[in-house]
Amino acid sequence: MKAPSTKLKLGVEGVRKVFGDGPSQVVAADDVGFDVRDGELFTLLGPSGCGKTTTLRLVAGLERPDAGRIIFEGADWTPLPPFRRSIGMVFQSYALFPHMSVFENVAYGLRVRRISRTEVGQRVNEALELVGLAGTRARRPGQLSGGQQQRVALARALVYHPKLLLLDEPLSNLDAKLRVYMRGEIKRIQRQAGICAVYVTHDQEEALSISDRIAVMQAGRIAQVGTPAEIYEQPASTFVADFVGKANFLECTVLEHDGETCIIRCGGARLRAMAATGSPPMPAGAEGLLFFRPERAVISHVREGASGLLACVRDIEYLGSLVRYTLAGEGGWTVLVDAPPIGGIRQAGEEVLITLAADHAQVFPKGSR
Amino acid sequence: MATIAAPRVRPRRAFDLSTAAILLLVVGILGLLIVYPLSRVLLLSFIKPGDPVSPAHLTLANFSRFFTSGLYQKALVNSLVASGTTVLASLVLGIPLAYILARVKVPFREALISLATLPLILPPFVGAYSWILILGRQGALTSLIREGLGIHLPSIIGPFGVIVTMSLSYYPFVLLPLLGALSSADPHVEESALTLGASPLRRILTITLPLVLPTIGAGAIIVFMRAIGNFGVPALLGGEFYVLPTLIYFEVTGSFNLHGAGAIALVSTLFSIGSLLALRYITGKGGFVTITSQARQMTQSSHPAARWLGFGFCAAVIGISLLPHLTVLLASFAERWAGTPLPTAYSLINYRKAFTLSMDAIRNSLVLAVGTTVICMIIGSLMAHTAARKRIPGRWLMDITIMLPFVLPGIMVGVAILVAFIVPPFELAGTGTILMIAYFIRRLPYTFRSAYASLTQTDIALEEASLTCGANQSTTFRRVTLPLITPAVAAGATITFATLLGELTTTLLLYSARWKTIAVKIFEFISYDQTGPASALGALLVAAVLVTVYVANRLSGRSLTSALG
Ligand SMILES: Nc1ncnc2c1ncn2[C@@H]1O[C@H](COP(=O)(O)OP(=O)(O)O)[C@@H](O)[C@H]1O
Ligand SMILES: [Mg+2]
Repeated sequence: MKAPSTKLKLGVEGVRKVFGDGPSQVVAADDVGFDVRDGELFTLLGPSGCGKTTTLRLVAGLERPDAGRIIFEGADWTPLPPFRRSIGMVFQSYALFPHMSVFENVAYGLRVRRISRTEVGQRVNEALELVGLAGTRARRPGQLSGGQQQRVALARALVYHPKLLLLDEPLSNLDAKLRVYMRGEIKRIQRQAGICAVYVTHDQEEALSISDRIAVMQAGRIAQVGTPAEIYEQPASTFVADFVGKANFLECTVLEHDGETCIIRCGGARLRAMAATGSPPMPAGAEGLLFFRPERAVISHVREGASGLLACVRDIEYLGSLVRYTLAGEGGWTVLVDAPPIGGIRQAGEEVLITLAADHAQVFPKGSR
Repeated sequence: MATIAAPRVRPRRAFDLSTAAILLLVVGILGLLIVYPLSRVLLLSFIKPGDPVSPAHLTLANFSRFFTSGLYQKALVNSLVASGTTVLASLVLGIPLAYILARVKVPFREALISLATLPLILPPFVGAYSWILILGRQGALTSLIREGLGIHLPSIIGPFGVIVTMSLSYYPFVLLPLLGALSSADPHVEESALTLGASPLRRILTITLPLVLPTIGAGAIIVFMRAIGNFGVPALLGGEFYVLPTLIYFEVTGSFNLHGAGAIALVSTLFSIGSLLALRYITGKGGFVTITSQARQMTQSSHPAARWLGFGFCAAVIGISLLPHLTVLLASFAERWAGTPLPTAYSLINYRKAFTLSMDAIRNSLVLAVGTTVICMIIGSLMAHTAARKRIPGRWLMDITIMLPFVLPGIMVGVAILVAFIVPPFELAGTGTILMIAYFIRRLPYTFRSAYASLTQTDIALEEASLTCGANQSTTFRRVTLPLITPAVAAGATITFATLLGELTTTLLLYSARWKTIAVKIFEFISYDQTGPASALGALLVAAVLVTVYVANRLSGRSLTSALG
């Protein structure tokens, strides 16, 4: 068992990939760069079609980049074919060989490395045990459930001790419950093997729960790299804020700006908020977008003199562990606020006050994405 | 991030040495064996016999005979009439059969469907010859029909026999795809018509028929292409009724006028290409129609009267279409059979004669068929892999080139091979090699298409998974790709082998005394009125084809006829 260290393993440097030519050209990856550290589980997160799979395939050597380099442990991997890179890959469709048994599937990577027969048997058994599938050696992939196939694919990718594990949406074909269970399993197995991994998913919840660090991708480019908490709490753009978790955006005007925090006028109220990380300084009078998460706002009865946003309860969604209110303010804006159902549930039509702690509210320059 | 300014280099394309080598092989084979012969026959057809082959001597003289020669004009008209009538007859047989098999719970349905695919695999000329045994002047049924029913059938020698035989060989091209379309059509569409108050006949005419019309059209066009290119049937049954393929044969063997033959072949090819364009237009997807005998279950009538009437009709049509081949079997054991419904004496003498006279031919047929099949398997799967997996420029050109000999009339291919390879630098006249070349390019599409279809259906990720596991390209091909496409390649190979055993058209143009095959031998026996040995050899051929297909079906556990078409 090995926790992630800070030693660099994989370096993806300014990688670009264009498919097709002429007017039908698609820039699938554009100046993509990130590092993966030893033992780390690094996730590429983004909406469908943003270039995650392409980036992963570039790392695997299944695609050649049009520009940029792939560096691993200081060596340039860019010109190497996949079979000369020390990788294990789990495909979205699992891609288990249908004409081989589970044992033969897992043994494949050892066989092509000409490992002795006895050692193959021993290591396949170890790998199958690691993924909890010791009893299915003789079966064909077609006779296994989705979750079992997933584990075989994982065992096949790990058995020959590659230096880098690549996973492309490995859980997307499983049902919701199994998905949650398997992501824990993958994390456990990855830690136990002590291998660094690049994990691709479009599911932000999955990414937050499983990753050491995340790169959010948008239209072929990296929008932000950071730990799950950084991505969630301090999104670098409205796109990241919107894609990861639920987000409220309100138009506002900047009154004062001191680098870290700013004072804004929003919905008739004067509020303090953080300036978004990495955004250019906003002069007084600039238009901005106030961002906050539904569970970070607090609602209370309207009191004289309290500073906050005045709103009216438009809609109530009872979700058990919390209540989701849709609140409408003067000027036509609406926001979502989640609150635990403690001390009663507010009624539709009720006037409420929304208060925000300054470090849970962020201001983006208007028009930025 | 430790991002150093990345060098803006453009790495090598995904184009390695093995790809280049295979591509070179592919281009070489296709260029030498297909493009060169076809261009040469094209060129010669525009040059008068005896003139030097140079641009200065280009002329339309060879084609002018279509305006001046009565024989040419008649052959052209005959070809169109016979093929057109064959199409009509195939529709008349195929459409009701398909409808009944799709919509009525006919007893022995699967067996009937299997039997209905047989005419596509069995050599049509064996069936043609057998009609002489049944309905010829001395035929088994001739006097019976004349005296019993008072019907005077037209002579089997001539257009009647040609059309009957071709129709009974080719109606499965209408039946099988239509059966597939009718069985997999969405039942709800028809049911909704019923709920709207449409009568059953109205429903068939306004809903069912328009839905399957493209399928019927495609089937009809394939029948037309096959019929207008068929040589064996008119050669045996045509008599004075010349069609384009027999006229070509006449020009080649009679006066060795390859230029004239080329011109006729070109005209006949124009019809094939026209049909092909029509087919592409109808199917819309630019693909070729695949024949399949698989059918998903859908609501079928199980009324006893419908079931047994349907069975009667299907069994009668399918039975009659296989009657000639059964007759050949019977005739092979007959010592005396003339003018009576059944032989009057049985013995094995025909087999003894056939064997003593054609041991060499049997050996030749086996050598040529096995050799060509093996080559087709290897080259076909390699080419399919290149076409399906490598991003190569001009791939469509490769597809078309491979399919060309498949859609061109066999006699055209035969003439092309003849004009290309009997002159320097090849001089292969009369060798086994020239036969193999002709067989190879005409049958390559079977293995190529089976392998290609199978490759496009297997997930590329399987091969990529193998690469990421550390296996290089050739190991990946050997351990993953090949095992996955083997059943499909074997299916294509079986059809290749089965149809090569009795190949007649190109063989007759290219064989020599040293390289006579079973088909040539049967043709000779018939020409010398040796019906006994001809039947014995024909029966052996039919049996060999059936056994091959049956065994291969058994081994692979699925229907191989899906590789046809
Ligand atoms: N082989 C390819 N040929 C052409 N376009 C491709 C190819 N692979 C991916 N693309 C395009 O590149 C873009 C990014 O695709 P992909 O990397 O698969 O996205 P993701 O995995 O994030 O959904 C998409 O617009 C996709 O259509
Ligand atoms: Mg993807």
